[in-house]
Amino acid sequence: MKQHHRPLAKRIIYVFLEGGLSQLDSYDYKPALAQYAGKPLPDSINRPEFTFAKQGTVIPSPFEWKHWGESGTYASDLFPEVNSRFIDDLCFIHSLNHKSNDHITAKRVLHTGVPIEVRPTLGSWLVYGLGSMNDNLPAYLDITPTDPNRPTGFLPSKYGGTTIDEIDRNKRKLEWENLEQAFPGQEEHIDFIKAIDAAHAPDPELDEMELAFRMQTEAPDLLDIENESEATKKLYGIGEDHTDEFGRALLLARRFSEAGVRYITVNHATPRYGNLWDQHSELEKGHRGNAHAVDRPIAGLLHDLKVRGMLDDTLVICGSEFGRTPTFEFFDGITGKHQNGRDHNPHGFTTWFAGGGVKRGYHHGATDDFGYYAVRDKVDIHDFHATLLHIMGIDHEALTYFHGGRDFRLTDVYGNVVEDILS
Amino acid sequence: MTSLGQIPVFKAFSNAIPLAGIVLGLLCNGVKAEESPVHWSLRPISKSTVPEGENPVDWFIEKQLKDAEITQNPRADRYTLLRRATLDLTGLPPTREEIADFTKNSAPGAFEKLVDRLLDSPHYGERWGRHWLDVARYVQGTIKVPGIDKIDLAEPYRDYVVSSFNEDKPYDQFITEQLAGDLIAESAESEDEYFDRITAPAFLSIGQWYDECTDPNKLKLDIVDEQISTLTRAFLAMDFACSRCHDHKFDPIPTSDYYAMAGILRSTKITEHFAEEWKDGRPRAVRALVMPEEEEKIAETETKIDALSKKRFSVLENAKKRILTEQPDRKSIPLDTTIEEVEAEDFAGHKNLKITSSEDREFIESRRLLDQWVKYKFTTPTEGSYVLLLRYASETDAPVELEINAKTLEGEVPFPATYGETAEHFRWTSIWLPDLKKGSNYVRFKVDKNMPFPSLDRLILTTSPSPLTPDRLLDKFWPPTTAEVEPLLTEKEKQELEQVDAQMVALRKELPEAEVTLAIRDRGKMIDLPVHVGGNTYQTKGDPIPRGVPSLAEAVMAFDAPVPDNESGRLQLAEWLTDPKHPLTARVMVNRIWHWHFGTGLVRTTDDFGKQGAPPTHPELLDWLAFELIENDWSIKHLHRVIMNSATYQASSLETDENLERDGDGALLSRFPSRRLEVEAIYDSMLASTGKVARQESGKPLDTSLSKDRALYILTSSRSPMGLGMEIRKMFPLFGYDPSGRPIHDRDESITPNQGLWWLNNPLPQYYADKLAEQLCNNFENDQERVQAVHEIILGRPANAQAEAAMLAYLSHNQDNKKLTEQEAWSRICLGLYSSRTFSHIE
Repeated sequence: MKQHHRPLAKRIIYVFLEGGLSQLDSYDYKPALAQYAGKPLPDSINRPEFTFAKQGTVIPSPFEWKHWGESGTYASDLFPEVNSRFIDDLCFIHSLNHKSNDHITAKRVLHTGVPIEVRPTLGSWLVYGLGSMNDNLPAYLDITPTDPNRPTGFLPSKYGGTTIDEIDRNKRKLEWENLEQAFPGQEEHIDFIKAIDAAHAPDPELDEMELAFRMQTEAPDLLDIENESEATKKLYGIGEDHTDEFGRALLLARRFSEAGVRYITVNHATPRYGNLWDQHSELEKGHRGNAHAVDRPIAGLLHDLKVRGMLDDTLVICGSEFGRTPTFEFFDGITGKHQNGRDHNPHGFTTWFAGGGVKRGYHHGATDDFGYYAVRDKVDIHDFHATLLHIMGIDHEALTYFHGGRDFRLTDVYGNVVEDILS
Repeated sequence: MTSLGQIPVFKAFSNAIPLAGIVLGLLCNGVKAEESPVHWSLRPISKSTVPEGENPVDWFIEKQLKDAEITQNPRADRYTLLRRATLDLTGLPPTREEIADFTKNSAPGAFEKLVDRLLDSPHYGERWGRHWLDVARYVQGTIKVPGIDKIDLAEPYRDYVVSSFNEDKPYDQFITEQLAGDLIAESAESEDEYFDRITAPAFLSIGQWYDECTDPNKLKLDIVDEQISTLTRAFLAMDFACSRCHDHKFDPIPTSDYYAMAGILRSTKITEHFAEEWKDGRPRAVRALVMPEEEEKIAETETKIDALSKKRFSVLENAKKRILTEQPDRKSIPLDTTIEEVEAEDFAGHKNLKITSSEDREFIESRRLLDQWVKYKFTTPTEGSYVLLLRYASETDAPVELEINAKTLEGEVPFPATYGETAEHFRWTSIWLPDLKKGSNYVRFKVDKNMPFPSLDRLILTTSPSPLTPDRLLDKFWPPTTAEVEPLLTEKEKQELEQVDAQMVALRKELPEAEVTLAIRDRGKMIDLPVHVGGNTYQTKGDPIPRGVPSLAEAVMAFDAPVPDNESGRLQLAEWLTDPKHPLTARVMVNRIWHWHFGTGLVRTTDDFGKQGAPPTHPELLDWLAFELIENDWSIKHLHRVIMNSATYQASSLETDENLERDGDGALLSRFPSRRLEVEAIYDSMLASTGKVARQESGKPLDTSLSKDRALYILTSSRSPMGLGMEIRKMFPLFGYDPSGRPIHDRDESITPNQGLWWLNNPLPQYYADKLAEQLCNNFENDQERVQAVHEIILGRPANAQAEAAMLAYLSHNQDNKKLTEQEAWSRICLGLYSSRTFSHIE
């Protein structure tokens, strides 16, 4: 399929902070939290009937907040490098919302549009719709996902993502399965296989084997970041204790994007500072440590894309499967011993975009005074997906796949493109 | 079509009310079937007559080929036929002996005999049972999607399915057992039949759900929805799930029909308890595979044990009274070896436990019977061994694994039962902690899934040189609780206690160690559900809909068996589905069988016989087969014979210019459609090539212990496969196996570059290639023999001149140019043969 309209971006890099970045401690400033610290939420604030854990009183943000950049965006000091260098390049949606308040279904909603059923991801839809930009590489990569081999649902598995991960813990190298040549002379080996099939039936097709062979010639070079300059490595924080791991992942994302991969997710889920970005307790320590690990690499990625002229047609997305509650949660049962963590909150959270297709230094939508529910210019997941497809040149209503008796869409029967954020 | 939803409340059983307003009305008014608005799949099954002496399958296929002016391919050669039939019916390649036997046997009826032998093979059930397990969305084992509740104990259902196919269980009985076996178990005529019937309804319980769903009311309806979607697609090839929110857009399924069926399933209990908060667990119900008499006996024994544990406690209570009266002034001796005292709720981390408070004390207890652990941090002044005092209570013996600084200690800490968890049941115990470091240490107590975890109250780390005996503990912690007075009993009290304990031990021995299976039962109180507007959990419309069967077949079958007030209605649902007049049940199943034989159904959409599904390519044949199934006591093996003994099944798969031009997609069956094998057959074929699958004799019952390394069992159990275990597990999803737990009606046959990479570089095919090469070099004298042998073992036929030349050339290339040893060179040949298209395809 070709694009329905001129695309605003050619590729997407989705930086996924798994576990739930707190909007209330990063980009959605709510002075009411400090005023109401230790008190229950006022009755005027909408709240869900069921929460993931029992809720306590309001807790303030432990981070410092100030104005950043020319746009004067008010943000916490959680991401100092991104904020000081790129805040004016970012486009925020503060009113993203859905209904899934556990990680699994929320992640599925984010990636596939539905919570429970196994459906294709945004990446699979893009590959199905747009195909590949490089015949020697897969069109869709998941870098360090926590749930590798995401099934493609009703789409054939050829539209699935290829996983790049640390396969051998000892090697500290990101690679993908079976890519390394097990023995030399594979061209002759493939010729032999062809000869066997030819002896059996005319015209054997071994396209996939040949494509596999070609992948082996291109992908290993891309995976090998040693030939990058020291300056570039430094940009991403590679070689430094906290940032090395994620820096490598993001540098790979840039390299593969450049080589023509259309859709890349990079998952940040290292449980080094607690449970990923899922700070049910110890919010300050956990978020601070996590942010420390990704701040430099993300700033490095944005910088790198910019100087290579790629930011104009690459959309970078950064966010979580949901945000967090204004209240502390009764972590570990009933005692409320740890009043320093926040519960899951899918009802109103923030995700930012940068690059191809979106406005710079722009804020869209808002949550209530406590950052619990989206209240203005709400953006649901179908709107989010419709917008991303639109940016890639696809009309979300026209991208369909016939299955089980009907045409399916990524956006089901919903979705409105959020025109306001488009550049 | 007018909106079906306009009929406000629709009674499922009443023939007086026309089907959804119009369908039956038009039929009754004498409208011809062709013009009738009734969709083809809902019309009565009609049986066309086939001229005497004609093979019915071929007759119908031939008719359409003639119309298209195309001739069917001739019969495939014997090697191809043998490999096709053997893989198709058993998922295994033929052995060299079988190849020799069959290709030499030119007697008439040889192929029929082959089919008979394969149908009698115990491996038949392993292959065709697996097909059904796809439809039943069976998954188990370590391939799983995170977050979905993992199902244990589904293996008895798997074995039930396999043996049902092996026994050629009539399909109507197979349906009834899976929907309502528990309800008819009492009338079983044998123990095996009884176990079948209580095992089979696991079909309803093995669906996946999100155990982290926070809204319990929604989850209850989600579970029902999953069951409805699975069963309607499995048996009716219609997805009723659409009608949860609105009348089906294309097919005659009003929301009222959905909720009539939803009531049936809401009235069916599949969980043990269903906690309001997800963290408290919603475990699936299980039952022992024992006969009812034995079940009663077990219950009796358990009651007796309960009574004894109460008696035991009262002995101790009396003793405590006596002791406190006798020693009114006794005081505890302060513990002078304490380093650190920790309340149990001040843990450094935990999983699936919770803090509870009672009688002014807080303690931690089990929350969900999954993996449970709790971790404490202790700071020590010097390195060395310490003693930990721990106050706990537990209904039953609760042995716990101990881990110090992430190292698991051998053996378990016993935590003997205190037979209750009130304050009086708590007691102190003493544990040896070897090799603590100086400074911070983490001590973790953990148990596996489904094991009890003791309730913990307080922990004291001491420098005591050795664990404290019960006497010494009493000195330190006076006055004792009831559970702690044991060391102070009089001889008489001791005897009394010993007697009780001996009785308990004897009774426990009487409890059989029975296998456990998922339990499905009717609830005590039935639940009718009203229509939920837009599928919304909290917004309903109108009165509850009485439980009942769907209305879509009313035009062709009168069904009048209302659901009794005290039954869920599963049995009536099964009766309705298995009514010989049912327009869908037989059609759907024969289509599946056709699909599994040919790779494509006569109706291509095997799970959609609705308006949006594909129409049948050969409607008369479909109906003829459906009739044949019903008339032959729903025998699936009979259908295999009918299909496989046709020229259509035996035609060559050769693609010619003619058949590609006029029958491009093969729908007319001008040739046998070649297709990629399922991953199980690919893996098993590799495994079998190295002699690792013992072929079990036809006519004998299946011995799973001989088959346990086959993909079926690796995929469907938690057992680690031998050798390259992880690689085996990773292979499955790469070749189209979907471990997500949704029903699979058509395996994904995509061929992807990542599969190409796998054949080239993965250690697994390499491993089998090495094994086979070793056998070839040891067992055969020369390269000519090896060439023929390996070609036959892997591809099911001798090498022709072209193949032989290619193999010998590649062999010498590897030996001469690449300097590989003989065995290495042969391994490369084996790998090449495995990697060929021919190997992974059925032709």
